[in-house]
Amino acid sequence: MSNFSRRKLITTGVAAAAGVTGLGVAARLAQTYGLVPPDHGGIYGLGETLNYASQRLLTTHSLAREFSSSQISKPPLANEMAPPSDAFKRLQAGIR
Amino acid sequence: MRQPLGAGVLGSASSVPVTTITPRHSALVRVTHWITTLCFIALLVTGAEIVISHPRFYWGETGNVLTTPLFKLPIPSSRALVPTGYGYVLPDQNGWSRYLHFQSAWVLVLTGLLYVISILFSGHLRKNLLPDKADRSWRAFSTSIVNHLRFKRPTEAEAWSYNLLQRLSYLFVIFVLFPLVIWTGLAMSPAFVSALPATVTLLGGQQSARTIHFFVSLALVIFLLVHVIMIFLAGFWSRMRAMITGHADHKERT
Repeated sequence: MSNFSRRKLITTGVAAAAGVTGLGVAARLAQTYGLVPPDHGGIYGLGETLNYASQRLLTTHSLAREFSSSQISKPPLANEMAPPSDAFKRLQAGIR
Repeated sequence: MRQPLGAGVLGSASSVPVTTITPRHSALVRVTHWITTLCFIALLVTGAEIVISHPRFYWGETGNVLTTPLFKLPIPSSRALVPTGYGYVLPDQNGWSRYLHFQSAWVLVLTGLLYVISILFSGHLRKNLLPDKADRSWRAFSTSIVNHLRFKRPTEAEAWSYNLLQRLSYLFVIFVLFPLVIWTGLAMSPAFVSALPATVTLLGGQQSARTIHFFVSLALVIFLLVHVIMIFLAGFWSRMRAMITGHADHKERT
């Protein structure tokens, strides 16, 4: 890798400077528009920031998804639920 | 510009030093290859960790412990409340796994975009990935399959580019499997889907998206296995050196 040319050096330099400037501007804009999440630090900060920012940008005008009433599931439990405590069971029995 | 195929053969036979030959893999291909490898392994490990928190698969919009699954993986779960038939709960590592899954997905998608855009412009797609005009026939396809089944060693010409089956499988992975795994992954995100509801309704629902995501990942794992096996068959050190330094030393191939 000894064939460094002046043209290559200048191109690389300009590209690097443009990249750093672009990143700086992007960071400032993201701060201004509230696109930086509270957990932007740490090793997973990059992924979290990209998730948070892209979701904010995508969903500025969108509402939650709608479903027809036929899509309401018959069994009422939608998520995994811890077994109810004895106190809960007593209350449940009393209300019935 | 790439040298004609004959140049490599001459170079390896005569006294022309290997370093003057055009690299087998360009720097961009090598860098994106290893970033993709790293991200794919991270996605695979974290994906497995995410899947064991609920190793049941459904079709349609809804799926939970009370709905009938399409199929179940015969493994214990990392959640005590998922009925698996095992009296054993695996350790739950979902926290970092989900963070790392999304982070590697971002890096992989951005790397993939860079790769696809650059191969469109550099001519790599046209020259090395799309089958040559002469190879666009069933005859060439069946010959390539027979050669593979007979474990025929690659010719010198193939050592400088990809062979037909290799091209077709790479194209399939780049333009079918990866787009599909990204689409089904995004279709599981409530936020993404609220902005673009068609992305999930076209797949048949959120649970269908999850099931397809699982099968496409499985297809990618099969590709990875075959890819690694082919590297061993073609000469592990020579292929490894080619993907790291860019230069394949033909003299050292046994």
